[in-house]
Amino acid sequence: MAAAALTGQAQAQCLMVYEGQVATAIPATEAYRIAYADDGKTLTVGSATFATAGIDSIVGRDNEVTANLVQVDYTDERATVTLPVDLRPLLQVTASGADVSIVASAALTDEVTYTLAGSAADGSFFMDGEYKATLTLNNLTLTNLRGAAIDIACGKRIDVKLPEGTHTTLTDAVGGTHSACFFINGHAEFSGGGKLTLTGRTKHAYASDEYTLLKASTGTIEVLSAVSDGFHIDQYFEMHGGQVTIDGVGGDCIDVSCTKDATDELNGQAFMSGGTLVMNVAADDVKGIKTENAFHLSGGTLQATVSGLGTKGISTGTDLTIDSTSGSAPQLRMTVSGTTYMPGDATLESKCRGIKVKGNFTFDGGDIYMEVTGSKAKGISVDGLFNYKSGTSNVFPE
Amino acid sequence: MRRLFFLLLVALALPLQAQTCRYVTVQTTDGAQHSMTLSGLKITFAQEQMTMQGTEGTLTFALHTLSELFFATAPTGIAAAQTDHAACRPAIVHGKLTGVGPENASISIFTPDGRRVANGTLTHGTYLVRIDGITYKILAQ
Repeated sequence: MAAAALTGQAQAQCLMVYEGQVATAIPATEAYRIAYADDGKTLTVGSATFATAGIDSIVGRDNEVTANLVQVDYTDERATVTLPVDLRPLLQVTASGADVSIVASAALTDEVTYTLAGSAADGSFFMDGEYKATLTLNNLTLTNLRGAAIDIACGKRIDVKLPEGTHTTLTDAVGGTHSACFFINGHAEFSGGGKLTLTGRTKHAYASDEYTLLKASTGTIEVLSAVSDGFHIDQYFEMHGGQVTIDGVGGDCIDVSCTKDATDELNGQAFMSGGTLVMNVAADDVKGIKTENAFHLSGGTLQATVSGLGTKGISTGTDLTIDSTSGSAPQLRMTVSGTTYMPGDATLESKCRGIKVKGNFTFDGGDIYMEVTGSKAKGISVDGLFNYKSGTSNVFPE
Repeated sequence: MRRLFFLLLVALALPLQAQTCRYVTVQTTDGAQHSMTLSGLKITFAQEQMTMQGTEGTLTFALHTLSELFFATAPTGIAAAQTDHAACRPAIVHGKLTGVGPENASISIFTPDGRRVANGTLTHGTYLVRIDGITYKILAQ
């Protein structure tokens, strides 16, 4: 009898208001009422107002409306943006062909998830605002022939999710003025077991102007090629997991530089405690992982093929620490076959090194194995002090 | 017995989940309400009119007569009216509206631009005829 008194759960439905490439979903519940005004020329739902002249149609759908979720679906030359009616007054959405721009109002105080899916041969996604957000890349294939594929300008924390089983591919324009194929103005935190493939045809494949963190659950990130760096990161880079492969780059595989604010924490540093990082350092006078300050390797596997002239597998501006503080011993594997970079100016000559440390090198756990074959190349070069405490290695600083 | 009473009290005291409503009801400025099933419903706007197309048929309203649109768990207007007006077959013949169903039906006749006109003066063209809250689009023969 009690069970009979309980209402059964009804299928979720909504009214979808279509205006060009933007669809606004109104949940079919008694909480939402649509008021007509101005002789029927406008209709209002909460704080959202629509001009009836701009409405293509309103259609009843058997869809559930998820709060704070914006869905962007790319289909060849067009993108459709679907958002809940509660977000409509807070987001300025522009969709033209396969280019989508969303600018969040300063009044937005909830985290919005932007899910991108589908494919477009010439499109883009731009987002700006003043609040943190989540970006879910759900089997997206996006090339932009005119600029960056994805440009997040909001300067806040951006959760980048790669759902398990998905593969997203991003490619940018050739000869553009943008910084990276996938650019985040802010700090990015990657998670999710999916795959992300990047190609940077103007400059970097990926760039962030604050820290980038790869969480333990991160899947696969591969850079196929980049004119400059694979990853170009300001502030710090932290890797707890993931399979990262960087190849075909004309600059550094991973470049970590200081921000302009000297008070930013961990500025110019890198930390690797898990995952696998594979780098092909083939261009001349570049580095596999380059840090303006310190690098702490405490777990995971780092592999580098260091073959370009004057290249370095690891290059630190200050100290290098390799230990097992993450709980598992790091594995470092390198083949160092490059020779000396001689551009004609003797002051610019640079020899090939597996590891080059401008500060001190502390080795307290882990295993280092290098095959050094390049003429005048060395496995490890330390300008400061070498502190050996524990670990195994077939090469040591000379 | 006491346990059964308690269970019933708990069930009734539980807040009702926000039920998904299966109907969309439009209310016009004269207070009339008309419902259509949400699933498969399509609403369009053209020539200062709103047209609702659904499983129950087609309803058309002049924009300036619209007051509100809301969701409902039960229909008003259409379902009840369909029963009362099963025999309603309005038509305009020789300038006059016929076949309007119940003798006491409330009837209003409008031109497409919203002007109300009297029965018996209906020349060639299209008219919107509202009978007990249901609007029909009729071509004068």
